[in-house]
Amino acid sequence: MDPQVARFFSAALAIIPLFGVALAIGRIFSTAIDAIARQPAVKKDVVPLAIMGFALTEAAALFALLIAFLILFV
Amino acid sequence: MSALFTPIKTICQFSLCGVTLTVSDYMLTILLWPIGVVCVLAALCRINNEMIQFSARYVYNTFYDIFYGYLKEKGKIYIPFLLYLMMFIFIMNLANLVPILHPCSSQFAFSASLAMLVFFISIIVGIFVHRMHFFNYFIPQDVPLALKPFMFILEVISFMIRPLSLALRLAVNMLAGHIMMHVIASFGHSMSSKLIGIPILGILGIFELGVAGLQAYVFAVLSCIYIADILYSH
Repeated sequence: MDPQVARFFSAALAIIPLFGVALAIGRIFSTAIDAIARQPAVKKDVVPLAIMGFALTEAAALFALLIAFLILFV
Repeated sequence: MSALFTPIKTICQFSLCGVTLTVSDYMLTILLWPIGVVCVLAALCRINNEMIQFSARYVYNTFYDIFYGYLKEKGKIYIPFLLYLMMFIFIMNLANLVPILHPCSSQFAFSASLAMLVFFISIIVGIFVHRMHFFNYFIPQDVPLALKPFMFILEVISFMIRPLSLALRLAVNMLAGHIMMHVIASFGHSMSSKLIGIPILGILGIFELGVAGLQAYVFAVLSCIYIADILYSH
């Protein structure tokens, strides 16, 4: 395989974790909405936790993205 | 590599008694940008004092309650430090959105130094509060004696990895946002009609503003959890 093609291909493989991250973020917010719909009084406690979980999960996606950038540009 | 990180440019260099002092754009941004933001806020105070005071008090009270929930009565003296850390990171993240300024918080050196600060503070707090019992933190209770050495090694590794993940999260988030804005901006510039690229860049800028606030909040909350973890480890 041509090295340049291999490079692009491996960069594409490196962002496969984004699939899992998308599922995880969807699940975080769907459960948060579910909890608030069942018990609106807990909104004050649930929203910061959901935001925090979102940020931590998004970091995983960005690490994958960073690896892809490193493969492409370094 | 230069496509990824904005290189640090040296503006001037002078030596004093054999010590070379280098003034770079990175350093100037860290020094001057927060001062500039504070000057703008002070100028706004002259126009509408009530509004600035109200919003400052609102921010303080909101985040004080959040940090108090983790640190409780014993650790509430660390809350001003965490609030200061959060505001500093937020202001430095805002510098990422201003075109001419050097994007400090997407440099790994910036976030790593702040994460090491938090790491050493949590160790010092632990030794100060628990004395030698601090090291019990690494030895979990209710574990068979044969497993304790392995658990000790695992606990030490997971403790040591904390500042790395803290620093990497902030730097990578800001770096990814910066690269994304760069790509969209060059895309919008190269198109024949700028009517599509520029609004997308504006929307992305608003999104990045949200990310800047969120990452500052996450950094502060995680350092808060780390300190509380050490403080109430018994």
